[in-house]
Amino acid sequence: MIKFSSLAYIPLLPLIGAFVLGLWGKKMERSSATIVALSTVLGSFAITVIATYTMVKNNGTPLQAVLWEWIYVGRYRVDLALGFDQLTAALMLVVTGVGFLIHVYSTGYMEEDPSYWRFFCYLNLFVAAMSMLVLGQSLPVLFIGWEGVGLASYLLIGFWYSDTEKADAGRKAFITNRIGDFGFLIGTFIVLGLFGTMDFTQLRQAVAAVGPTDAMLTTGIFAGFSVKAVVTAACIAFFIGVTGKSAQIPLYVWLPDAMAGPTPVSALIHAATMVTAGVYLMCRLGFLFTIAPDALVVVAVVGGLTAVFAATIGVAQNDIKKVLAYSTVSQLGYMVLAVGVGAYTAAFFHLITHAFFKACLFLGSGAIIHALHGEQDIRRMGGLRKHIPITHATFLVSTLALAGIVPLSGFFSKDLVLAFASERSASLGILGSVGAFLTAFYMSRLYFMTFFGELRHPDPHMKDHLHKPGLSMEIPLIILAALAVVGGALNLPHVFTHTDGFLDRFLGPVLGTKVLSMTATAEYFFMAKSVGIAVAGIVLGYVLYGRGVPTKAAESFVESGPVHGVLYNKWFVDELYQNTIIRFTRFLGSLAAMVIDPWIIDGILVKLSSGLVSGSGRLLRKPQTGNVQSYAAVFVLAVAIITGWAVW
Amino acid sequence: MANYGTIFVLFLIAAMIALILWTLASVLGPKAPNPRKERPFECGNPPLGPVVRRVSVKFYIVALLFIVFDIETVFLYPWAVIFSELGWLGFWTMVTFVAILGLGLVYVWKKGALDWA
Amino acid sequence: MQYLNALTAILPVVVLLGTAVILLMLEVFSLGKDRIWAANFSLVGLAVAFYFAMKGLGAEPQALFAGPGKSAPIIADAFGNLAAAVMLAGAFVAVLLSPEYIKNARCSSGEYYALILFSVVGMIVMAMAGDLITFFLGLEVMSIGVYVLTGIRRNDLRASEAALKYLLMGAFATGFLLMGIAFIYGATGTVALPELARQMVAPVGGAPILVTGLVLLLVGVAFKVAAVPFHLWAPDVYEGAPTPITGFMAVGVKAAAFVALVRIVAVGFANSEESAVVIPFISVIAYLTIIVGNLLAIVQRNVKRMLAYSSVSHAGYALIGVVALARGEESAGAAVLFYLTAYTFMTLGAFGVLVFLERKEGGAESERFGAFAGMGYRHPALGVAMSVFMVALAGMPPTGGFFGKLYIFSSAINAGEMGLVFAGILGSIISVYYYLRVIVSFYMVDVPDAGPLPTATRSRHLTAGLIIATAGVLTLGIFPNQWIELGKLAFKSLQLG
Repeated sequence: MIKFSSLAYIPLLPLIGAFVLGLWGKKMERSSATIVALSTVLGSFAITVIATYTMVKNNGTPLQAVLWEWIYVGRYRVDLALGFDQLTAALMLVVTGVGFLIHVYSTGYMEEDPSYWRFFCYLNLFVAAMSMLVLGQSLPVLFIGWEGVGLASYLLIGFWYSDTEKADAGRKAFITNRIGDFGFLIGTFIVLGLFGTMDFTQLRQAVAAVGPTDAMLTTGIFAGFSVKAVVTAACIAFFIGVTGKSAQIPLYVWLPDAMAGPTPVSALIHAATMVTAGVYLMCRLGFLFTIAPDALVVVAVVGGLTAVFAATIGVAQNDIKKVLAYSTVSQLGYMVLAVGVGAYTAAFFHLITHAFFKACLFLGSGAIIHALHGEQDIRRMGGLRKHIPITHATFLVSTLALAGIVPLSGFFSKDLVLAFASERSASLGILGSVGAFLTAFYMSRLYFMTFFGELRHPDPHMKDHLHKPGLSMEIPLIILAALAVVGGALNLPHVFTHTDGFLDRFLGPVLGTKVLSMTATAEYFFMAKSVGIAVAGIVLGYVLYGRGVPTKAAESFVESGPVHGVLYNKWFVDELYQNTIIRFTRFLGSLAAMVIDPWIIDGILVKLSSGLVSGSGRLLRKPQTGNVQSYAAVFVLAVAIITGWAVW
Repeated sequence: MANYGTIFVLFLIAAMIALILWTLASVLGPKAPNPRKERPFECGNPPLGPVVRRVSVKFYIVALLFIVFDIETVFLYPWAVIFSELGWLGFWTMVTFVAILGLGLVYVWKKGALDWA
Repeated sequence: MQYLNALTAILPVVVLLGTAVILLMLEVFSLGKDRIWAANFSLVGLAVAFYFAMKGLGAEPQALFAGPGKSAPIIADAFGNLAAAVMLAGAFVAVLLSPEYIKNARCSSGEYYALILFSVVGMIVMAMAGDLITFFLGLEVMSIGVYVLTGIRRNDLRASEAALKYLLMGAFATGFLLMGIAFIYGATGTVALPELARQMVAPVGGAPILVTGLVLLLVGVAFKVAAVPFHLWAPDVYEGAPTPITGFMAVGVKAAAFVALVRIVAVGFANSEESAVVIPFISVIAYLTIIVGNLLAIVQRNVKRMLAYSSVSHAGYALIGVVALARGEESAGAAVLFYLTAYTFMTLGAFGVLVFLERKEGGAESERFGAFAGMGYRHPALGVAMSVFMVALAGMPPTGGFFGKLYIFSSAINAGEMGLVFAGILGSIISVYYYLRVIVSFYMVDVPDAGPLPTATRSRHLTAGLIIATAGVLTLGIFPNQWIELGKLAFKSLQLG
């Protein structure tokens, strides 16, 4: 561990920015608000780069900054400590780097909003919280960030709070995440109870020191259980937290609704960074998950199912952001799947490339929506290729990357995930391939309907007064698209270079290395298959939507009919929740309101206990007469009793 | 405890004597109360004002000041007895004490507490 | 020179005394009728004293003013200085809360601040007392100042009544305290704490006398901290006193009494059979204080009175720490110090908000819960501050109140006092009800009259006081460890000295 106290400034700078904007933003010039917001995030990025450089120069020794000793109670010690190792470096570069680009983009996107300052205040707050989450050296510190990003996300989804629907979406996100947080806390407590520490370094050592994991514990609060059983319980609990934050089945429902927020928010929080926090958490606790194979099976299955499930819904959505949202859920499923099969590096690789192309796609969709004065329905788009060429080009590149076309970044990362998945189990591999096909299909549908054919907007003059995106919006798009193209170079496959990929080597010390066991021929064949699937999806998309409008076949199969109905309504999951969990909760609520509350709680518990309490209060009030004489009498009586009792 | 036992007995005897006398007086004494007898006795005249009269607050202030300086004297006597033993430490401590009291006197004076009118 | 050296070791006291005397002189020579200078001048004095107290933390423990062959009446060590710093901070905030209040109450002001300073001198002397007589002297200096401050609003009947009650009951309790000291002296032949400790190890004759003495001494202290059943004066007096003084009294007097108690228990009566006999008695007082204090706080309609009972119950939590300390659990000393610090800020803050509202929303005392309806919306910053204080008093994170209780309870668990911890937690749960009720009336009760907002006459002093209190509560909640480590070091100095 090397001391590197400047780490503190990574979260602190944006926090100061948020503070300044929150307090004085309203009175600030727009330009000075911009400077505050951008410079703080850029500063964080610079420090991250320096920290990464320092760490690499010292042969990858992690950096550490103990801000202060936080809670020392008995034998439990928690410092407010930040750590910086390879895993942190990789994610922090994405958070602050992509974060900065999206800040730049937002200056253009939000320029007409009256609450400009408020937006950047929240956005800075988010960067601060996310940095805290990633840098946190122990579970409680990570949890501060975990809750912080949840708060920032809530504020930003409901940014236009005067619209009830949007405010409700914010609330839905918050509540769903709270359910997951409960799991996170349970996991933390189990870990604390078992190992007596919440610090990652010490936990790793403690896990390494555990002998055979099947042995029964004889002491502590978990006596009678095996280590494996307890760790599995903890991992499942953490995974519940992950399903909330990283939008997996069954808690994914908030993410599509979260698209109510401004589009840059969708790009930064709900595609590139915050939603990957769950994946990051599992990578961080990889050493724990590794000794809980049963938990990993659950993780893999949930991830694979989410990947396919969300992709099917994406096929039938007409809101451009909703399509991308379901695509995000599906891609997060791939990452979770990769963790589930133990391929942590692959998961992280996909996380990074996904951050590039999905952020680019969201920002591109933002540019489109901006151009069309807020129109989000792809059925009213079309032909935009000619009008916003740069957006079109970057969107195309990112779409191909997402679909997994060689040699773009998405191909390498997704292929790696799929290869590991199919090595673990054939059925997981098939799930992944189906998802990949659907991804290619819905993305090409989205692409063709948006950019091809003629503009179908109901306002015939829209074509003439399109909002062309300015430089502040186009530059981030270009940079992100470029990253989406070359991002694959981060981790080229072994068969190409005959050496381990860069990311494999870089993250090896933290995540361990896992290599494919298939032969080179098999691997080439596998890649060909992946590309083939992607091409098939795109071709199908072209055939059905190539002219910008659905063909007859598409109209009857995809755009209408029973299948469409099911998919368009998202497999009726919201209705399912509505009619089961929510209705059941409501039922419980009304039961409580009509029976339990008035009779048992109010009647027996409250009336009785409050009667007891206030009755005894009234009784105890009796000596409080206001007479000094009676006070003195009570005094003497008490002294007499106590002295008598003490002496005899 | 045995040594204190005698003292305790003394207390007990004293309390009992007081109790016995009081009881005897109230039991044996002849009583024939009537309203006129109950009235406060004021040299044969009917009482004029309330029994408890207000005393001017000036008296209290003078009494307070008297006590303060009285206590100072009480301090000074034993101090003077072992003055040489205490040395300079004792001397300066007492100087500080008297100086603060002196300032207190100045305060009281300026505040007008010594003016009788 | 010995005398000057001794004075330099207790510079906080010297500075305070000097400031107070100068204040009085300035008052009578009427060099300035604008009353705000008196407040500012005493603030400077308190700040300088605070600086010297913090500086004194690093110094070696020194025994001062000892006559030849006699034990020292004053011991200046890290513990005394840390305690002094806490009390000085409390007084500082209390002074900040005052100017507007006394202007509105039309009471004389030069003496007001001088009396606060004199009381603080008494408190510091209590915290540094090396023998029981000095402890008693400090207690009296503090008390007399507070008696007068209670009744400083001479034209207010409630205030006069409160002052008289406090004086009478205080004199009464002091009698018991002195009697206790006399008994202790009678049994051991000394009042000096280190000498007492030596006497305790050797078998002492007349154990019942000593036990009686200890009990009476503790009764005297229990009166000062308003522990049940010696608390009856507290609500009347707290209600009648000027609100800033109520806050000062609730935190300063209590802190001084507890700090002195910690020193007496840790230095004078550690590990003796007689003090072990007294422990159950302290426990019973702690139980009673927590339960009765909380129960009575619930039924109050007046916020000031509610806070009075709440401060009674907080004395109970601190008593848990004293019990643990008497059982030989050393971490309890630092825990009590931490608790008192947190308590100082949150209680003063709460009273500060009361000062603000009384002044603005009715001129006179408007302290019923109902009078606070909707205040959270009318004064957003004030609402936030009050919520912080209430949450802290209820013992919830991330405030100093939470960690104070945490440290106290964990030291009590180590000492094996599970019953007290249980009572403490039960009391905290009950307390949530009446603390949250304040927040509820701040935010969730409809404003009865949505008339024009009262014109805000802002007082810089009051605002500064509330900011310091809020910052103190939150700092202790976010950086608890620094302060508890300081407390541990200070407590160690107590045992070395």
